Amino acid sequence: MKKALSALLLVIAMGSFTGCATTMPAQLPEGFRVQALVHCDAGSPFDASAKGAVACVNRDSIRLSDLHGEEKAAAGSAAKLLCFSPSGDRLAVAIAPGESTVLRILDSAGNNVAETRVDGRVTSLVWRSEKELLAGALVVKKFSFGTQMASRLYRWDGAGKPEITLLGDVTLRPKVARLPEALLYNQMIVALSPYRDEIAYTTVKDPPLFNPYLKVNVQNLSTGTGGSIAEAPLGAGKVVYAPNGESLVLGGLPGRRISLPTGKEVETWNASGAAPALSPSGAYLLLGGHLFHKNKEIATFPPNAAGIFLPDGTGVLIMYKERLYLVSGLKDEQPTPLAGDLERTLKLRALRSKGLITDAEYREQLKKESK
Amino acid sequence: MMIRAMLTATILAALIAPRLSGAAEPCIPCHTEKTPAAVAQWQGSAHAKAGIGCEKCHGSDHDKIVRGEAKVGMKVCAPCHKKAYEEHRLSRHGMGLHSGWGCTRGLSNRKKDECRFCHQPGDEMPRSDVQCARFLKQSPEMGEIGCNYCHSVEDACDSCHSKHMTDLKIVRDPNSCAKCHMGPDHPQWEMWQTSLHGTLNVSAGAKAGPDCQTCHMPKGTHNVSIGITMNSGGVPYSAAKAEPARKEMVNICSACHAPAFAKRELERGDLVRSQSLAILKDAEHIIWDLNDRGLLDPMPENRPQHPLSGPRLVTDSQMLYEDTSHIERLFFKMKKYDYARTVKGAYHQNPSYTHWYGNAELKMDLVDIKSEASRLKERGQKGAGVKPQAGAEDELKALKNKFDRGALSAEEYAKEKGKVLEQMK
Repeated sequence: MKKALSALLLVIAMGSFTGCATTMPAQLPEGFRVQALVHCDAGSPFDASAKGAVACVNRDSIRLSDLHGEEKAAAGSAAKLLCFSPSGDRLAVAIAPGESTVLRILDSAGNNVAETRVDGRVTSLVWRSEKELLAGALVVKKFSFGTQMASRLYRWDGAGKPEITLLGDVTLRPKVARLPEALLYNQMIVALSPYRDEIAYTTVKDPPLFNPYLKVNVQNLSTGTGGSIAEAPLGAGKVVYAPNGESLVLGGLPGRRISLPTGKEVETWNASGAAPALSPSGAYLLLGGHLFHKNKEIATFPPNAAGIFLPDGTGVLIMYKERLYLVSGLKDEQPTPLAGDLERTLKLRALRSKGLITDAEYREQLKKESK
Repeated sequence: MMIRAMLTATILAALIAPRLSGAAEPCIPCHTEKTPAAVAQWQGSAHAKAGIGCEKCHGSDHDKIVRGEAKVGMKVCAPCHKKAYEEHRLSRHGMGLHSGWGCTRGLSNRKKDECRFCHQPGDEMPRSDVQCARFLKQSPEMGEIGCNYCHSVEDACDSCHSKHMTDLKIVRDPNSCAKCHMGPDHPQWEMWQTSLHGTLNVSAGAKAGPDCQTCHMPKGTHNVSIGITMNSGGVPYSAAKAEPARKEMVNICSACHAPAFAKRELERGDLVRSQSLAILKDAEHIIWDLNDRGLLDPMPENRPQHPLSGPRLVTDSQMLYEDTSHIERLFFKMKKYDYARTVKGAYHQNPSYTHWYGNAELKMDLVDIKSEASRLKERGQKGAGVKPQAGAEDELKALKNKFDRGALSAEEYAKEKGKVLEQMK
């Protein structure tokens, strides 16, 4: 009896250690495996690199570990946002001390490589290349008649001062400015096109006689042209580009896909969430705790679980409560190559963005090229 | 008999004398000293004879008169001269050529009382929708002398008639028209003077050689636009408007000429006009093409904004002769001076104005404009060489501009774009 009790206690104790798969409620298809990786602060940011590193925040400190949960390095500061560079060699970090944000670039060992401070609250980080970091930010000024909220894009090369582009400016009525932060600040989350020439982002609108809502916008980074293509309810969250760069997936109720550049709705999912994630090929979609494969729901996770796909598409990192889990066993396909002649395609995309050629003409040129 | 005549004269003098002085009381005593010419002119006028005194036109508020606020506008004359007023209002003279062309609210250095040129006190709606960018570019002084001295004709009988004299000899003299209808842009007076009509008028009198009033104010009408088939910028009227006007002019000419002859002569003028317009359009097309390609120097967006159209190219009647590119300045001269001289010269049967002052200049202008366009294009190509692959984008921009302004149909636009995209390969 004593022996049996000891064995049971051992099993329970083992179950709480890293590597056990029993602490996140999930319904998974055959072949999928859940592995608990590391502890992290609830609601904190995390990311996975192309080189198999995982970054998260635990006890107000950035932790770098591998995909087995083994900690490799630590940087002693809490971060609001984390983002690995395309190669995985660098990690961008946003630290928000108050009305400004510190942007920091760390190397793979957690060492500080570059740092700058920008105005406002940075709400998203994305690397355009190894040498250019994009940061979406909201700069808020309060007045008696309302709150001015400016949406800014910072472009930083890690050396000089970040270049500022104003992407939106709105005056919020006092009652709108008092809305919960989760609603009001869950915008200006910059998504980068797979072509790395265009961004998509949301900005808040507050018309005097209607409820506030979000505008979904795109802007070509080379030409500075673009515009609003769709609308979404406040709190809909972030937008992500499809791997072919020709559509956007939007969170909200329900999650939906809109085509670019027309903004027409082409697909909806029976799920809602503020942080949709697509696998590298686009075959898998994680939305509000639901995992879809080619539009068929195949797995469920807790609805408040946030997730991102590994850059190689073999797994998805899920944060649930105070732990990061790796769900493996995914069979993502190879992403379709973007273009045969990337230079010409980028030029055509710039011309389309400027309104000098139509979308139909753009597609016709791509079709001719592929023949 | 003699006694009766003297008696009549005495009675008449007794009747008239009190009326003359009474009509102008109490102004005459002072003004005989202060403005003797005005008083003398009035005393010799039909107004004085009819008992129309100072107050009737100027009002009785002396301070207002001194401040220049009691202008004797057309509405003062209209109650008595109703027919003339109504005819005038129908004519080009009365169609809103007064100054204050375009709202001056947003411009700096405007006179604060300038609003009254367009607005009645307390009325937000302007009296006229006529706009003039060239007026809006002037200093107030320049605008007053260089613009208003002629264009006040809409609301001022004294623009042609003198202020206090009423002798119709003054306004029946073509010289009264010359004040405005002369100079580089519309030298009608000079072209009439040196035409067969004008020379006969001088040598053989008005019955042999008609003057301005004979043809443009037949039977004393104040509608000076009778028989004209184009607007003041030389743009032909539509057939619906031009045909009745032409009939009127043939009718006027037929007082001296056979109607068929008159018709033929006027139609010859029409052909000169359409040929000249084609040359003008050729030049205008070149300028718009340069604008489409962003080659004007400076481009409209890089120079002081047009008072009515902002940072857009303007080649219509609101075109400016200042703050433009050189090629536009050439076009301004071509359109405003040389086209006008050719066309108006033809209708006034003046060979030199039609040909040498008009048509020859018009054609030489086109040579200059083409040459300047070549220079700008050559320079643009050199600039494009610095920016690799800018050619296709520039070409597409030019095509879009052409399409946006209606110079290309949707089919033509798509076809031309296709060609550029093929070249991009």
